[in-house]
Amino acid sequence: MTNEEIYLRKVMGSENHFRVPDGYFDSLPSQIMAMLPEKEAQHPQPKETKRARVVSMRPWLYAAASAVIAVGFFALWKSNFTGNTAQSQPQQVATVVTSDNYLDEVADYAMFDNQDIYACLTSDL
Amino acid sequence: MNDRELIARLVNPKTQRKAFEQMVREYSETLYWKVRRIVLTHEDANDVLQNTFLKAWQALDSFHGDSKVQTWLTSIAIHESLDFLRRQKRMPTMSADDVDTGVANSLMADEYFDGDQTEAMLQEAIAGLPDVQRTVFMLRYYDEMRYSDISHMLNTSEGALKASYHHAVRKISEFFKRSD
Repeated sequence: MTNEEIYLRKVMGSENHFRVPDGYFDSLPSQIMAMLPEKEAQHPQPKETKRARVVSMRPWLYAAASAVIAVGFFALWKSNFTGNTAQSQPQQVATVVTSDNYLDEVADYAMFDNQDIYACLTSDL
Repeated sequence: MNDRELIARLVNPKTQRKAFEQMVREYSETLYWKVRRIVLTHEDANDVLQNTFLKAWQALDSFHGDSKVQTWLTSIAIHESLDFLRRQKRMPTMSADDVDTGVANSLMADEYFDGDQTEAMLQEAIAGLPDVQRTVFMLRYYDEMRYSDISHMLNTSEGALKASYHHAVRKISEFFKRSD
């Protein structure tokens, strides 16, 4: 135990100063059980054969293939019929969005706050 | 009933509900205090605890006894508490009148807190820690939980947990020394 922890235990102790309403723990289990949903009976699902799986996916496969062909034709048409568009296309600027919320979450999971980060940078740790 | 018997009854659909009730009776109070120290108010602790057991009920089918029942439940409770703190931060609950009401003042006005001003200030100091660091401090200082168990729950290395705990101890000590 470090000196700081010894100091803290001397100053703080470990007494619990939080309280609960009378009878809370006596009624708690019945309250919790009353809110739990009934579990549905689990029936064994028939295993889907590989062929059945492929057959059932056919409409999706046809749709995906059609989409790929359509995109391919569009790209071909665009390259043949549009002129030099290098200047007319809008510049795509990569933006990195940082938000305080994201940085806060990172700091939380790293369990460090600004003071720790500064201390680390100045090798005070 | 030992852990192995309890788990066997929990995974059996015929005995599941009764075994779950037994588990609630056995562990609810311990879990409540872990949650309460993190979320601070009785109403919030009650909500988080109910969500914890609901999640545990829903996740029963995927619990295979890889860890102790208490460790499994505590892990769910801790994650629910941390989720609660994150949601609380995102909600704009502070009005202009509430600006000066800190944690200490709220606790002193709470009928389910019987500590003095020093105790309330201590809780404010703890509440000022980053959420995960605060959780590590609570579990280690009050519950004397082993670093290996905390590591399993939070999926963080024991080394990082020890460093985090010692930082928390130092910050809270400094808080008190400044207040003296």
